[in-house]
Amino acid sequence: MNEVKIVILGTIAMLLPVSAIILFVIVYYRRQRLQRAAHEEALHQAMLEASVGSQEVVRRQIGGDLHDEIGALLSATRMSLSQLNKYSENESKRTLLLGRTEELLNEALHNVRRISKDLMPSTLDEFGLIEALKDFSQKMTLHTNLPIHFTCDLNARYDAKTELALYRSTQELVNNALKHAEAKEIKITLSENNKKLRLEVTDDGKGFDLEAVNQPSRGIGIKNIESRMSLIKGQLKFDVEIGRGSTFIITVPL
Amino acid sequence: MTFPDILAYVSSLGVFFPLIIAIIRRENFTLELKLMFVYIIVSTLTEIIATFWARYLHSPNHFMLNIFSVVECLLLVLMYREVFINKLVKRITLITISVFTFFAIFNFTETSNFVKFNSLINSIACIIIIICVFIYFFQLLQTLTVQKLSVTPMFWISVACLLYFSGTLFLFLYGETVLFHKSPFFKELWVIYFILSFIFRIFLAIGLWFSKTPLQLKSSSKSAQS
Ligand SMILES: Nc1ncnc2c1ncn2[C@@H]1O[C@H](COP(=O)(O)OP(=O)(O)OP(=O)(O)O)[C@@H](O)[C@H]1O
Ligand SMILES: [Mg+2]
Repeated sequence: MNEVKIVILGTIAMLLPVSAIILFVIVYYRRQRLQRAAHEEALHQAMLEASVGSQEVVRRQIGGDLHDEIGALLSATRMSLSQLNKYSENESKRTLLLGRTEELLNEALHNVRRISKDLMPSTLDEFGLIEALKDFSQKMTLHTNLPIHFTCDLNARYDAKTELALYRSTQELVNNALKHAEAKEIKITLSENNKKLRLEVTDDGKGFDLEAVNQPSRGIGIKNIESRMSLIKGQLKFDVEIGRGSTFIITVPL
Repeated sequence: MTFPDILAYVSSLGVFFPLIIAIIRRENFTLELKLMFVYIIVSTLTEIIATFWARYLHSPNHFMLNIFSVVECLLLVLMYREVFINKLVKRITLITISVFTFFAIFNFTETSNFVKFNSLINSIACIIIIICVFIYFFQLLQTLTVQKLSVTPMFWISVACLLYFSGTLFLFLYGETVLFHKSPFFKELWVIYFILSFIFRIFLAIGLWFSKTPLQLKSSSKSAQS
């Protein structure tokens, strides 16, 4: 029996199981890591979806609260007002009651402001994006004395998430144009082409530098739009320059 | 006393490590670890009896090793059968172990095969156990059920088995040439065997130390609630 041969074979016989074990441990942990990453990704996606869904739930809850809270306050106000009639002679009592009524009204008003900020306009929910935008542009024209034109020859309803995202984005873009652009006219156009929904918001204001928007110290409005778009796989494009009106184009796959 | 003799002593003492741990932790044992417990008891007894046999009766104890290797293979394969998930694999292990046992008994009917060290039976036993370890590893990779390998009893037991049985397989394949040769070189090879079996027992002990039953988990969570 060749001793060298035995030594070599013996070494191999020991090295094989050791390397098999090491290999196994490495492969095991790599696979585990991959699996965990996939798991986290799925969880993240699910949480994102859930947060959008839960926003809706919260919205409905707020609607209920609004009804109960504000309703109660307004009932109290009405009672307080009807009591005013009884004390038409008693001056001091009258002032007291009037003061309390005003307090109640103020509180109701305050609550309405607070809660309604989080609420989606019911037009969007009930009649869809197109009606809501029509409504929005009309109301804004009234409030601001600035013509806001809405053009659209579609008649369709879209995914609730898409509608909400587009509505909020339009609000922010119009708000921006009113705040920053010193425009004389704002145009909103909604159209469909190539299986994509296209929303365009244009103003004839003074324009701005896109670089300036990307500064971290600036507002969150446009970033907000972008994050909304990433949720519904949409896209926000700018056509802006200092000295001329700005155009924002949002496209969402249908 | 020569160096290999000392090692032989130490490695025989090593038998007591897993035994002690097993006695301490026996309440936690699931079925596969209970089989491991039985295996440890059997191997300890065999070790003790074989040592005394050789020392005081001055007669060869090889027949004991032959029987032990069959029992060892039986217990370890049954242990792995417990952890295998796949029904087909379970059935195949059962068939394999039955065939092996019958073959061994048949083989032992020839007296020379029984009283001398039987390298054929020992080698087959090693190969069967190594295959079981590989199936177990493959199953782990497929299911990824274990969070941390380092605190999993069956992982340590499998590492122990893989190292020990592939090492001894090598020794057994050369059979009597290696094990009972008189030249000093082959005496050195025994050193490897003692080291291997010492590592084997330490790893078994580590594995048993990490045993935990659902029962224990339940009671600890109950105490956390109250
Ligand atoms: N239509 C526009 N015309 C001119 N400048 C604009 C227009 N829209 C945006 N900008 C410029 O881009 C900047 C970033 O707009 P963005 O909506 O992100 O923030 P913001 O409106 O300042 O703050 P917030 O979103 O919190 O109201 C604005 O500060 C403004 O300078
Ligand atoms: Mg803004």
